[in-house]
Amino acid sequence: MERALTIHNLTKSYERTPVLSNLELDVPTGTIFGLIGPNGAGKSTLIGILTGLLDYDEGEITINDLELNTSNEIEIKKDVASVLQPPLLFENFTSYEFTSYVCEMYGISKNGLSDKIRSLFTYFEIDEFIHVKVRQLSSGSRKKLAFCTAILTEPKLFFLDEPFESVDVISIGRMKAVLRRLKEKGTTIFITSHILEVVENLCDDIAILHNGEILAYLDTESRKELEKNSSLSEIFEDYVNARPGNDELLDWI
Amino acid sequence: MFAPNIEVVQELYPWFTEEMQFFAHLFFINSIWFTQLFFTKISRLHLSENRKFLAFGMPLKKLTNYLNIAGFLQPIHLFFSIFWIFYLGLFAQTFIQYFIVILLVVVNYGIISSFKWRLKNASIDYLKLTNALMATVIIALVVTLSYVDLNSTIGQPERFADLFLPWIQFTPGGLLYTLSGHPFELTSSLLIIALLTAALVTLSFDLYYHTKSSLLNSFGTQKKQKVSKRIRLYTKIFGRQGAKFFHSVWSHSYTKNQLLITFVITGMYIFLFHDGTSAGDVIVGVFLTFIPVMILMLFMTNMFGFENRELLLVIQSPVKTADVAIERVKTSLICTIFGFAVIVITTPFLYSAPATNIQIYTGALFICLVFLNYLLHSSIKNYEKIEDVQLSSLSNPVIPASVTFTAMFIILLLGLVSFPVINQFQWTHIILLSICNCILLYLFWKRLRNIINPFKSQVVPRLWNEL
Repeated sequence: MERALTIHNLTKSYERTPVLSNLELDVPTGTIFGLIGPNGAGKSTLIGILTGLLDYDEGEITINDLELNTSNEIEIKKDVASVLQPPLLFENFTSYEFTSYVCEMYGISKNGLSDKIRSLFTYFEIDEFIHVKVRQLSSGSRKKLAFCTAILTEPKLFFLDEPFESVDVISIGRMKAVLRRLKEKGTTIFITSHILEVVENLCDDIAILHNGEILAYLDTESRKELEKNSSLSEIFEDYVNARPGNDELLDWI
Repeated sequence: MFAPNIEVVQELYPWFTEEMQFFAHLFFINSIWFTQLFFTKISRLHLSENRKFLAFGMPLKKLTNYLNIAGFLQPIHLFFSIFWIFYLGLFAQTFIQYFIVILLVVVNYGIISSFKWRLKNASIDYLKLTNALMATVIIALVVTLSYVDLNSTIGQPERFADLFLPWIQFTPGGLLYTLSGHPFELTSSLLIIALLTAALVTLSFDLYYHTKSSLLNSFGTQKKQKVSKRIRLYTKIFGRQGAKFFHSVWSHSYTKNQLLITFVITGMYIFLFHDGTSAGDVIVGVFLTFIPVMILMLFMTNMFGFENRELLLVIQSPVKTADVAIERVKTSLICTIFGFAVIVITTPFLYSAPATNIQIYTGALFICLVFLNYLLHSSIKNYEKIEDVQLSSLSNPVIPASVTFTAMFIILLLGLVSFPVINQFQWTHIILLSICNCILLYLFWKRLRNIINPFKSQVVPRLWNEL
């Protein structure tokens, strides 16, 4: 099976505090992969490393068969897009200016780009903000704008950090539909979230990250098997050894 | 102790008449009033923070009223009110006058706050108009100063009272003094109280309306922008990364204001000091150099702070990280060359000797290169996020006032080395400056080539941490 992403022995520390330790992960091409973990597990740091923003201490990362290093930097980035939380946008650009500028950076052909932008904006109901400055948009619209822009850069590997936060239910449904379409076209989608419902229905394979280590990798088959007896939430709690909340502390409520 | 009816004062300062004392008094009150105007700030209401109370269920009306009261009781604002109560209270003689003073102080705060709200809104909605108005006022001031014989007025203080008293009584300070100190009859006093109360009620509504609407409009009005080709134009001039950087700096309201002030102040000083003396020549050189240095500072003091987190998106895209950093420096240099062109165009009109012109160019280049080397280092080392910068703010501007003043002082010091014309050594001086310029250029080039390492190790991790 082809791998869109291979991580071997990845280690990252912040001032001697380890955030990721000897992390091993393989993500098959053309799947929707979900990385779940509690707050502070190291999900965002991993995304930061994979999108080339953060350096790492040790390990090897291969994206679309290319090893992540300075010499391959541009070639790898051409096929990678991301939507971070909070989304990264150019505040002083209008929505249209922002999207077309980013597409230009990715070398996307201008032919038909304007129509694609308009159709995506209409689909996600942000077309009325097409000539409004980004800094004036609500948080939901900002997320949708970042999502639309990332799609227009035609990525082969698409990273999404908490993709549905601040987005309304209707738009979440539409985003999921678009992600499924992208998957059918062969795009690999890498979602990180701490909300299990987000990944439960959407993702094929799931990995559980806790204290900088992958505790479990559940592919479609093993998930089906495990979910016969318990929910994903229970499986997750088992793996991370979540302590039950002491209800006595809340007697006053 | 310093009154016109004291004999010693009469002997030493015969011009210090009762009118002069009155004028000095009103001048003092006005100075305090304008200081209060300057120090009263809407930003002290911390609306963006306090807006969160609405989410916790606090009624809008209640929050608005609380904030307005908190604004009045804010220590700096309160300090002025207490000062006025004590100071104006000195002139009150009856109970009713004390009552007028208290009302007057509250109304005074209301008027200043109301004015500040309008100024804030005007500076957001009509930035270009505000800038144009400011430029007109400064130019008018310069023109007036150039026609007024300063020696005949400043040198003769006894004329102050005659010249200014007729109108200074109608300034805010004059009105405060008159209303609190004048022994009005009972009917007039009651009428004043009624008018002040009406003003107080009106101002309360005004402040209530402004605070309320500001609490509700968290994102401002969603104004549609015209489809513009400016990004495309910037890209042609500066390159794609440079265009993004230029757009971020240029679209910041403070930038245009700072540039306008720089050009107007420089013009004013050159006009006043170009008198053919060697001291005047140094001052002219210093102020001309201030233009490119200020442009350089505007772009490079906080080269990555303007875009802050936006830069992360740029780094994620398929461009070399080194190009992202270097193209920004190049853009700053192109803009500085524009400032330098102002010197090249202006000096031939001021000096006929070619050697003097060349010395000014070489000297200005020397100072610019000193700043360029320092700012390149500073933009990495002292990276800071530029968040919500206010127009003409001393507390949170892009370039802090202290930095501007220090820069001005350093330019002056370097100017004393660069600009004096010593006839027989002029060419030696020019050659020495040119050698220094070559060394500084080499140092800059060396540092620029290695910019990627400190950029990656210092700026990017901080940007990420602010995510």
